[in-house]
Amino acid sequence: MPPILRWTRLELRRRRRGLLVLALLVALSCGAVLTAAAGARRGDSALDRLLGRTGAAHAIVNPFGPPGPPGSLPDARYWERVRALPIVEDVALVVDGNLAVDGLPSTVLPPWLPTADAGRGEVERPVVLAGRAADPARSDEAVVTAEFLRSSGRELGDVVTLRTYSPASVDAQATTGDPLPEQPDGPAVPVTIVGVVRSFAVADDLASPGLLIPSPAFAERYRSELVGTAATWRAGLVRLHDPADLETLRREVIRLSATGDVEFTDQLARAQRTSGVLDFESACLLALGLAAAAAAAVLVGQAVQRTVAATLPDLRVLGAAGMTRGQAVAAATAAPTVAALGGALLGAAGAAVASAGLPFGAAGRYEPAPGVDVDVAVLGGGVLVAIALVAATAAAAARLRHAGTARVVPAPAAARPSAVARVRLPVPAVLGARFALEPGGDPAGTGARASLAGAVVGVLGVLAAATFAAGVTDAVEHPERFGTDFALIGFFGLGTPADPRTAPAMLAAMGTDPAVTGVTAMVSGTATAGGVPLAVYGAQPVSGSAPGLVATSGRPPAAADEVLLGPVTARELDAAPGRVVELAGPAGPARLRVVGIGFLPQVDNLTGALVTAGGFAALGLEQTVRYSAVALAPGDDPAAAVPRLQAIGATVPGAEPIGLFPIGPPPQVQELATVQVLPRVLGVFLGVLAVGAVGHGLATAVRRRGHDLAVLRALGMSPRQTRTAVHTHAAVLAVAGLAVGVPLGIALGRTAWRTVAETTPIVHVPPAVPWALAVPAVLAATALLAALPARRAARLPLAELLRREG
Amino acid sequence: MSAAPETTDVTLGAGGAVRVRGARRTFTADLAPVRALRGVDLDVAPGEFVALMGPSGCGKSTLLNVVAGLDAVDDGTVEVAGQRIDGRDEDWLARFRRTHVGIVFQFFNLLDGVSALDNIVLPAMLHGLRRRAAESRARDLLDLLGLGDRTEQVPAVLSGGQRQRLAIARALANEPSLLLADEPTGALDSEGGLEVLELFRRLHADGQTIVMVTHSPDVAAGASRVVRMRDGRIEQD
Ligand SMILES: Nc1ncnc2c1ncn2[C@@H]1O[C@H](COP(=O)(O)OP(=O)(O)OP(=O)(O)O)[C@@H](O)[C@H]1O
Ligand SMILES: [Mg+2]
Repeated sequence: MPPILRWTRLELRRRRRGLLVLALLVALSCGAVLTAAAGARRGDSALDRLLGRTGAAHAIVNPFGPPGPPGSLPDARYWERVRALPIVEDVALVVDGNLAVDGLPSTVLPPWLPTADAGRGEVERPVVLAGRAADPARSDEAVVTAEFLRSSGRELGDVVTLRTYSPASVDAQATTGDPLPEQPDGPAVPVTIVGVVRSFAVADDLASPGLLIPSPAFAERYRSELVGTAATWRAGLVRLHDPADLETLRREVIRLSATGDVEFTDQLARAQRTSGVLDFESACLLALGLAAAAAAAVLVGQAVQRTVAATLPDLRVLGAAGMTRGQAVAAATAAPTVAALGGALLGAAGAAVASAGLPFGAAGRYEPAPGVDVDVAVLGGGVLVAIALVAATAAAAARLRHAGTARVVPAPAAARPSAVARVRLPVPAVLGARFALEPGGDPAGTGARASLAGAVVGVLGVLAAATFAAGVTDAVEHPERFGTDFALIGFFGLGTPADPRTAPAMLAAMGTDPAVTGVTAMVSGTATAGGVPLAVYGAQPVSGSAPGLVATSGRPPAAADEVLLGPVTARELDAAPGRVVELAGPAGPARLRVVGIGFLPQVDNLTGALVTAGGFAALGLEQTVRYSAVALAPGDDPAAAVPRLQAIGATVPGAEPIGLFPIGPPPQVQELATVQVLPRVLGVFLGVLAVGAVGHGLATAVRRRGHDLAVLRALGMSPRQTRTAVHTHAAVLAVAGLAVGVPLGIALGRTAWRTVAETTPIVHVPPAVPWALAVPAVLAATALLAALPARRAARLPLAELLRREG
Repeated sequence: MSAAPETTDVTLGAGGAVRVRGARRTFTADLAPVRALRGVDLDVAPGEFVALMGPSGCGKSTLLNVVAGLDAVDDGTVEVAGQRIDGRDEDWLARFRRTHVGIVFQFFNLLDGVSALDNIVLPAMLHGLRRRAAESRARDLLDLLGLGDRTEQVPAVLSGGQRQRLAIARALANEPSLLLADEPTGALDSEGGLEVLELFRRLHADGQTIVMVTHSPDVAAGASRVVRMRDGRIEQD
């Protein structure tokens, strides 16, 4: 051992610079890879941690009263009964009131406001990112989301003014349907922003300007201004002991309500969707990390080999003085390992610092603890792996080369003659092809192989990323891929005055509007499948295209014995197109053939079954039209269409105003939009990597083959032919990259996109990219990369190179 | 891309095979400039076999490089086959070499990993021969030099003498009017050296002009004329 220690100290001193470069390379690689890996892991768990820490609700239950004044519950003891259900952990009551904010769009207000009746306070306790939570006793305080501060330019401590409506106006709207006054006519309430909070229920999405959430005391104090004098609290955020009981909850809240008219928002499904996006995002980040790791392996591997090769001649001399082979290998390995240790620690420290900016994208909006986060497992593991890899590479290189030179006659560099030299091509072409395809003076062949691999991986990666990105862009730009092929959703009943009995006439009338391209009337009810309640929708196309009937596979139902299932339901029932499922309605069981998997005309559009109006009747469900989907011509403004269509509807005798709402892009669109950038980053990263690998390969080939080039120059090869040889090398790399990379890249991108489309789910349209553009682009890029090495090759100092032994 | 057989302005002049006048070449080195050639005058007649001798570092290789157009003189003129080659650009020199000059290096300078045959085929193709013609010429040369059974082997597995014979075969691939050899026997034992010398004598007998650098008086004795250099000058002609 002492001689090795002594040797290592010597090496560290005299090879300072080379070892420093090695350490920095390791640091950079470790930094990039560990940042990505830790970021992916953190992003992957962000939502779960947020849901756990905030006691996120599993469902939002909104029971409607009977037709008439909304806001009045059928039974004031409704929530007492829900809370008493053994499956329920806690319920926090909320209220959706009429409210406006001075100088800001009303979209900064959440769909519901917290009230003082928060049960035991265990549901939806947002984490506080800055400042503090609002004082539940003070009605003049509010908290906001991070996005609110960014979009509004306000700061903690600023005061915003909430505008309420007078109780009289609200009551009038509830009882007579009179619209609320233009200007809020109730008290103006200044509230101070005291904190920044985050929870799943009030998470920022990309399109939102953030949210301002008044203190529960506000809803208490201005209760009459918010929901009128007659109202009781309406909606409840429900958390279950066991999320698996969600369907039981759905059944129970319907059973407990007198009317059965309950809006049930499945927050669990929403969380699962978001989780899918975060998984996808993490996968992209991980892919980035893997690509970085691959690049690092090549770069660091070559640096280690160079370091070892430089030290071996000296060790051979010591070998003559009695150093054993094992000692020599250990001595050659020690210094690079020390460098790797330093570099890896530096890289891990860098990754810890970089963690302040992660997770980003969608996960960044769900991270309960933003800021620096030291993932000891990933960073520590990464450091150990990096050191082990460097040590193993160094030891292997030392063993290999040390053995090779122990013989008197050196092993021939290449024992078999070149096959490429056989080809009937002009000399420069033969030479260029050899450079690209044969290892040459580098026994390990890393140079030629790395640049070939770089070209292939680069083209493949860029095309795969571009294909995938094209899929994402197509989905983001086409809401109908998510089932939203309509612009407006109309309600009859369900808290709106319109009488369901007038629906057929009203919908038919609205269908005559020139901008309306299609109307579908929907009936909804609950059947059971295998004893489990299942939302069933009946669709009756009224006019034009049949909006709201979007199948991701198969087709929508056309006959009374056909059914389309939501993807979640299909999975639960283990049903696929062609199979028969048995649904039971009031009229008894009915056997329906599954003809498609697709979306349902609902907010939670992944669960439930869609049948024709005939099928709905056959199940014996109540045929009251509750929803309608209205599709508009592209470019027609949905917000502007609402009053126009309401006016048309009002011409029907006995009609009350229909509740007609523009339906925004589905939440998945925004979720997908946030990760749109990742495949592009990955593509750019791989492209840059390929440019580096190919550029390095071309330059190295000229350096390594400089002697061969000089020999041929001495034999009469002209500078021009020499340049041609280098350009041929580049062209071979380009052609190989294109020939392998284009088809594989497109296939890989499409497969990845199909997987995402099937799991999201999205109507799968195979993405197309103008791949032919890659041909001139890659040829031009490699030609450009070859320009400098070609120039250098043409100007080699012949006499000098030929003096050397070779 | 391979040049068609060149019919350049380079033609065998009446003057001589090589004519160097006042050639100077100075290298910039770390400590002080090295004046490798200090005004060399040299004439070689067509068909002559000249042995160039002199102590190490006197400028023999530099002179050979200058005559081959691999290095340029700082001053003076160099004429080969009746053509001024000083002051020409690299493309011209490349064409000139492939038409007129064959070079045998001290350290073989063979292409590694390329078969013996292809080591000759490649320069023959540069010379402008079609692949088939280049191959048959390569086989003839290998037969001539006793390497007929080694065509598919790579240089690394050949012995030193075999490598040097392969290097000579390669230098003859383009039927050069001038064969330059820098210590062709330096890396060989005396037997191998004599073998190469015998080969050169045969080529000389067939009319080949040869300029050969050597340290060995025995080898030099085989030449038709011995030229001595010292300190960058021709000492004795
Ligand atoms: N490229 C170069 N850069 C610097 N100095 C050079 C270069 N080429 C040659 N020299 C120097 O020029 C001088 C002449 O070199 P040259 O190779 O011509 O000698 P030589 O007579 O061939 O010697 P030897 O018999 O040992 O081969 C030497 O001092 C050498 O160091
Ligand atoms: Mg010399």
